[in-house]
Amino acid sequence: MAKLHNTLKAHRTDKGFTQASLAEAVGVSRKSINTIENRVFTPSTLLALQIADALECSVHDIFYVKDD
Amino acid sequence: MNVETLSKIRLFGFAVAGLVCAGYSLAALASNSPDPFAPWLPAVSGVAAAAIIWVSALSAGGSKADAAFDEFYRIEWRKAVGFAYWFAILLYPIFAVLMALGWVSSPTAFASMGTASGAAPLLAFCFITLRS
Repeated sequence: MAKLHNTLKAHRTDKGFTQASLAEAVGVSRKSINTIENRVFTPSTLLALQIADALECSVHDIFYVKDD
Repeated sequence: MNVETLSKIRLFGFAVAGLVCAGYSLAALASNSPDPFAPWLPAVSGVAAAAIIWVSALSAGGSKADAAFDEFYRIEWRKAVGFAYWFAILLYPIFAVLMALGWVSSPTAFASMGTASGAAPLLAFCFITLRS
């Protein structure tokens, strides 16, 4: 079954963001970023786009679909 | 005040109000009395929790309050309310049996079911949040 995966942690650390600073940049709690990275929480399209904007990359660079 | 502190205050407020309501419900059942202790306590704990969370959010400022009440919070709250909905419905057949057997009077059932229904979303939210 296809599941949403992400490379958020790698992109975030590459850009020098901590979970807290990225959360502040996109206006969510640190826990939201943490749970996205751990695939507990699937963000809305709006939040995914805001994260991609903050990390100056495409949503497709961060989120991808893969069969589990 | 930062987002994390505001989230912790919210969790603490929900937990205290939820535990007071759950305690009242269980105490009403155990004593078969609609007022096992001060009957105003569940309502006051709920209003106090709401007031503390509201004042905290106000003092944190709009952007921090928005971050604390972000979409992940809303998803967890929806899960808690969903659980509480089915829990409240389940209370009806349970209390119908207890009342039919004569173990619980209707005033006690009213007090116990009401406070249990109030406690359910608050404690479910705490449980879901602490697990995630």
